[in-house]
Amino acid sequence: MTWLENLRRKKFMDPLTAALYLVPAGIVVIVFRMIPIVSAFILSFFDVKMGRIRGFVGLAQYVRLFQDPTFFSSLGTTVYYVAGVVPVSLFLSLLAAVLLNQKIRALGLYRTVFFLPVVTSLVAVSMVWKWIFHPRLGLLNYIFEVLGGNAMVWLEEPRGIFEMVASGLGWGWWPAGLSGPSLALIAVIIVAIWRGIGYNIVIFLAGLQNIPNQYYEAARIDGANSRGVFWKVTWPLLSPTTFYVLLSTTITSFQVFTQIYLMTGPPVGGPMGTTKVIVYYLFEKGFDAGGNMGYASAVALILFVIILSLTLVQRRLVESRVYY
Amino acid sequence: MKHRLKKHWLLWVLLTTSVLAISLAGCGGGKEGTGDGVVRLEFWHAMGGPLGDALDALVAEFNGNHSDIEIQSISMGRYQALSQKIMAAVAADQPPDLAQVYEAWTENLIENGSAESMTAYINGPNGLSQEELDDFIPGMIENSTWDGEIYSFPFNKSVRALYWNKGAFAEVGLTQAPTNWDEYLEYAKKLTRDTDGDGEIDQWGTAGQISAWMFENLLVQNGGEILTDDGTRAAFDSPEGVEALEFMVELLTEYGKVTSGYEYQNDFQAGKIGMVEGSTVSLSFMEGKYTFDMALAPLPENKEKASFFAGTNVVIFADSCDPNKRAAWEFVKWFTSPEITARWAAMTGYAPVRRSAMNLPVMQERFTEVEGLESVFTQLEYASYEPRSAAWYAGRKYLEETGVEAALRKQMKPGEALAAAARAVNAELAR
Repeated sequence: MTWLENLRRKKFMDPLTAALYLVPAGIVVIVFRMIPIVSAFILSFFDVKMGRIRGFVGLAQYVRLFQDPTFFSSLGTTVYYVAGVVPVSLFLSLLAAVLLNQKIRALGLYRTVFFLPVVTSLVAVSMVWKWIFHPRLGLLNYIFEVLGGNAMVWLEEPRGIFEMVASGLGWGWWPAGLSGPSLALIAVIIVAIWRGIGYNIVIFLAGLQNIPNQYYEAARIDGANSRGVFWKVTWPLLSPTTFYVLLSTTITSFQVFTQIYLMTGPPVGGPMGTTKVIVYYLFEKGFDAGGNMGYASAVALILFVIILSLTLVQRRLVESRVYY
Repeated sequence: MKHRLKKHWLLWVLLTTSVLAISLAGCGGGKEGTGDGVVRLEFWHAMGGPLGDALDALVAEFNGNHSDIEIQSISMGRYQALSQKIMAAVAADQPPDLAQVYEAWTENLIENGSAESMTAYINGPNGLSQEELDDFIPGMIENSTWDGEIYSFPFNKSVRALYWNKGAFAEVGLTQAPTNWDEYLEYAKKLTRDTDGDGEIDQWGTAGQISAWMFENLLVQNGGEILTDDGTRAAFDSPEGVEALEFMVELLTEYGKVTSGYEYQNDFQAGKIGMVEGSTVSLSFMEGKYTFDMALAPLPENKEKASFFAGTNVVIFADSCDPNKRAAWEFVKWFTSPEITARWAAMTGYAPVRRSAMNLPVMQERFTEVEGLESVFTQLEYASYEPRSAAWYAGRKYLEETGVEAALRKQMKPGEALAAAARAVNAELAR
């Protein structure tokens, strides 16, 4: 028996040793994830003001929640945000990943450029983009004006983009309920896509490089063109990666907070509450001094249920088309 | 091996118990006396920039004069951060000894049993006489009183003022600030002009931000009320309120500009705006940043002489030790004494909380430095305070976002916007 075998049998196979290795990560997960989740669930049945639990209120917070129009409008805003970020981010990052998977010059440079926003502080990114979008001093409006376009107020524009397009086309009337996300929200979405794309590209690149070259060679020998190769070989074999990217982008998009907090307002969530996403609504209700942590916990729980059920639905609908 | 494990166990137990022991020791956030007879206490506030410097200077002076007290002035940067820290500190049973608070927070703290009543200190041996209490600006003590008990004390209070560019006024033949709403509009119209003849307006009459405070002042000047007398329903959607918002929209969108946040003050300092409304505290941020001749004036009047002050009070936390509470009261008493409140006001632009402070040399000197400041502070005589409840704190957001903002951005007519805001506020108040 060599010492290595000894180690493998006695130490690494020992469940107690394994448990010991799991302890540090376990403590972190339990203290910073599990306990807060359970506490939030419990707190949502209590009245909590300014750091003190006042009393058990049963389902009252949930009843209140479903009577608050701001809850539903912030939910709607979040859905707009997710619907804006996820498909575009997925499409652009897949496109970029396929291009970056070719043998081109200065490949490393391109990869770095795309990944740079991901490693940049989100706070710094938000502040810089806030200036880019500034109505009078911003770079974007400067470019627009140089190109002969009209300056826009971007983060201060409460009108929905569909309504703006309709009025731009000269239509005098547009149904009020269908005005779409505000231009301010679109501005935030643009930043989110720009910032998140690099991460998705890296995941897609890893997925692309996992596809064995034999398949491509076989397809070529059979006379497939590059479009055929993509749809018949790359796309199906990449599907587990695409599925993962879809899921993770959807979940993180639902949880958007920082860009909203830093880029919009004052007051945050403006103009006219059109960028007030659900997590900011939760924050405002719980952490502002007039607020109630019990109510905020109820919002958090509803958000959790929404994300969980969406993930399950995505699994059902999409996973059947995934080739593992 | 077993021996070592045991040793680790012991270490953990020791560590845990010592952490617990530390966190349970003492009362409140302030450190206990270290045996040298000095009471050390923590004062949490949100003063930053020139205001923070002024506060730190006064705290240092207090510490210098009191060999037995050491106040640790801790700035949380902004009010929202301050409220979060207080919330977390109360939850962890580690509150500071003294903190700046808004009225809505105070109400929550009182209900939690976290706020110490100051009435006993005021009536105690180191208290204040009735004469001294009467010297406070009317309304300020009342603003700190709940059910007959004084739970907070006025600390940094400001009123609104009109800042006007005398040079820009002179260019259009005006020598005085507007004194009523009609003049306000008329002057703003005159000041809105194309100064270099290129066909584009480059000087606006006025400018402002989306502000519930501005609307509330216009509302009461026009004879309206924020809430009904019993505080259960919105009253700002009255005809008086609609008229006030129509006036605000006309003023700020026809002859002025609505900017994001405090940008309008930068534009004013750059000489691009004739006059702007702002808090008296804005003075400390503007000081030295403009080159023209500037003066202050009270807000132009309308039907009623009325105004709301803004800003926070201080509370002493009930969980602190008695020596800390007494020392905290000593600081509050010192800070609101005529001499110190006058110096605080002269340094920052906050209103002095005592009437007699106005006549002190330090204040008189400031009045000669800043033209019109004295008349701005006359508004304090009839200034009142906004509804104090936590429900209004939440409701006020609807007035600002749904009411004032929708009207100023021309998404709704003032009447519709106020009606929508009132519905949201009523729902909030009914909860």
